[in-house]
Formats: sequence, C-alpha cells, structure tokens
Amino acid sequence: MKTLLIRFLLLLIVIFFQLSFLDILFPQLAVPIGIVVCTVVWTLVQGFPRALWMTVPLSVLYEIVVSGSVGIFSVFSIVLAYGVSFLSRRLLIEERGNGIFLYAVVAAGAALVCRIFLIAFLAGDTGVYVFRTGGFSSLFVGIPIMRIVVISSVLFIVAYPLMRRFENYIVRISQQQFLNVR
Amino acid sequence: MTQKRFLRTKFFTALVVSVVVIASVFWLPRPLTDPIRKSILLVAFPFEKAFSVAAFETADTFRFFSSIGNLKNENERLEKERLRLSAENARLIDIGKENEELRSELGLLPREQYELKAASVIGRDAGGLGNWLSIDQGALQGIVSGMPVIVDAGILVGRVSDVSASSSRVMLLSNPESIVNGSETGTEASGIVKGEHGLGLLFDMVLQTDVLKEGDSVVTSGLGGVFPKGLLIGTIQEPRFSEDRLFQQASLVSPIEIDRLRYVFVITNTRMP
Repeated sequence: MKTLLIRFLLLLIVIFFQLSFLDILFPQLAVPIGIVVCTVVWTLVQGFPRALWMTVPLSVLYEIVVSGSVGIFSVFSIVLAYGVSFLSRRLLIEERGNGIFLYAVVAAGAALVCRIFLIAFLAGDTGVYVFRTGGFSSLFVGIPIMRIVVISSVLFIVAYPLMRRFENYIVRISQQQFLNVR
Repeated sequence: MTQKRFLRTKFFTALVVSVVVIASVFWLPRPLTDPIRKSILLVAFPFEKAFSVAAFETADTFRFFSSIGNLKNENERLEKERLRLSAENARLIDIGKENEELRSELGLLPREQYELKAASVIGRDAGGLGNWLSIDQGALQGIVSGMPVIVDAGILVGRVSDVSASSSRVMLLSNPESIVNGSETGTEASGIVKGEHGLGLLFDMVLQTDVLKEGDSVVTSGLGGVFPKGLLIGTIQEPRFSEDRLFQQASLVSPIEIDRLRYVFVITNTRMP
C-alpha cells in the first residue's frame, strides 16, 4: 500500500511537472516531453511488461487531467514503451556511460514522433487546420526541433538516474514490508 | 504450442493493453472521469503552485540575462513611448472629465465597474497550441464557469471553462471552441471573434456593408451577456472576404503575450450600465 501511494505521488509529480513547469517554461514545445521521457526511462529501467504498470496510469491520468477523458495519447505511450523495449533488446547497449547518450537520442526521437502524432491525430480539427494552413512547418521545422531534441535529451539524462534510484528505493521498502510481515 | 508462445510475447501484452485503452477511449464516459480529474487537481494543487512559481522565476532569470544586450535600445524606445503616452494621457484625462459631465447630464450610470479576483497562472496547455491555462482560484474562491478573464488593462484573455475546488481552467480566445461577439471601435462593424486552433484570432461574419480598417481595435460588443462590453480583444490585420465571399473577416493581433502571462483577473461580477 505504501509503495502504491509513493508511486501515485510520483505520477502526480511527473504530470504536474509537465503541466506547471515545462509547459510554462517552454510554451512552444507542443509536446508533453516529460511524459514521453518518463515512459522511455521506465521502460529501460523496468523492462517492457513491468513498465506498463507505471506508463499506462501515467498517460491515462495525464490525459484525464488535461482533457477530462482518456485519449489516443495513452495508446501512443504503450506503442512507445514497446518500441523502446524492442530497440533496447536489439541494440544491446548498456544503459550507462556513452550508452545513456544513445538512449537520450532515442528519447528525443520519441518526443519528435509524439509531436507529429499530437498535431496530426490528437488535436482533431486542429491537426487538419495546421496542415491546411501550412502552420505545420512553423510548428515543426527548425528551432522547434532543436528545442525538443535538446530539452528531451537533457531531461532524459537527469531523469534516468533519478528513476533508477526511485525504483531501488521502492524495492527496499517492499522488502522491509515483507520482512516485517514475516 | 505456437499459440501459447504467442500469448506470452511482449507484442501480445502490448496488443491487449492497447485494446483495453482504446476501449476506454470510446466507453469511459466523462461523468465518470470528471470526479477523478477534480480529485487529482485538488490533491496536486500544491505541486502545481510550486512548479509554476519555479517555472516563472526560471523564465524571468533567463529573460533577464538574454535582454541585457537590448537594454539600451529598449530604454530609448520606452522613453519615446513614455512621452507619447504622457501627452495622450493628458488628452484622455480631459476627455474623461468631459465624458463624466455628459454622462451625469444625461443621467447615465457609470461605465462598467467590475469586481475582480486576481489569480496566478499555474498551468498551461500541454499541447502547446495555446488553448487553455490553469489559474489558482477555484470554486472555494467563488469562481464559476463562464466568468470572463482579463489582464489588468481590460484586455480579454478568455473565460473560465472548468472549475475545481481550488483551481480553474481558462479557455483562451485562441481556443477553437471560443466564440466572442466583437465590434470594431472605429467603424462599429460587428462580428464574431473565433479562435484559430491556438494560432491566432479571427474576426469573422462581418457584413459586407461594414468597413474593416487595418490597425483598428476590436472590443467585446456585450451581446449575449457572457462578456461585458468594451473589453479589448485585439487589433485588425489583413481584412479580407471569407472563402464563400458572403462576409468579411480579418486576423486579429492580441496585445498580450499569452506565453508570458503570469497573473490574470477574473471578473466575478459585472455591473452593467
């Protein structure tokens, strides 16, 4: 129960870090970079099926907070988690040292794909409008791309060790609880 | 045997979870998710507040360092602007007095007096297309859905669309669902102001017989009763005919930078003349 509460609290922190920090600091990003990066990190730290226990509630809660209903972004996060797991198994690169930078690039790529996905599908009419009026290029090409790549890479490099420590902490608490019960 | 192996694959897990989520996309009704959302917003209010303050302070610091190089030019520009505004202010004070006298002679009530509630911005549109922002005033502070939101100089920002206990969501004018009745201050041409999917504002449905002048201001017309009359929406740019050529339309440039907005005011009560 304690671990569940701590995990829920972490989900809230991630969601509101996105909505009340990243979206205020970088209003033109048009992509929930924090959520995408956390999905990538959790998949790398925990492996695919276990990561879903965090990434699915994260994306579902995020969507409920943003729009009041579950949307297609949650499906995107599942596909993203599967894709990252698929890549990490095939790349066979250690998640430390220089390997971390490669995964940071993967996180940045995921954020870019998410941006296209959001503009094209999630926003419904907005996507059609943006494409029709030629606003797509202004939202996507040039500086916005660089901004997304840099911020999501930096975020990944910061978030990865933090999440690792968090998961270790959770394991320690679970073991303590188990031993107390015994 | 092959079937059993397939059921254990990650692909199958991803497929099943995706199907469940897609099903919830279509079948999870909003009345069911609304209480969840409101509870989350209530619990997470301290996080929202702390993160937004940190974000604004960080943004201000960055802006301070990046603006040092432009300070000289900016200072000169502001000095010119100050002189121009001083002259205009003197002229307007005179006109204001005259207006007061005429209104009292005609027995008119004072112009709109709003009861304002100050609010801090604590969240923003995650899609980044400028559709909404969150403020730190909610039902407990007397905020009700539909209340107009302005910045201090009487410039319209949007309206409250969703209220939880201690925070509210403001639908910005640039939201595609936002529609406001507006009129031009110079020629009094009237129409509706629509959001262009976070990319700007469109002054639409203006009759062909009306005149739209580039650079003129558009204010709320007060029709419909949602927004009080006279709140500034923006200035006209590129007047043109609509695609079907039945009406005129124009892009509007809002004087506020939504990205930098930190404090807003909610009009909680309007005493209309």
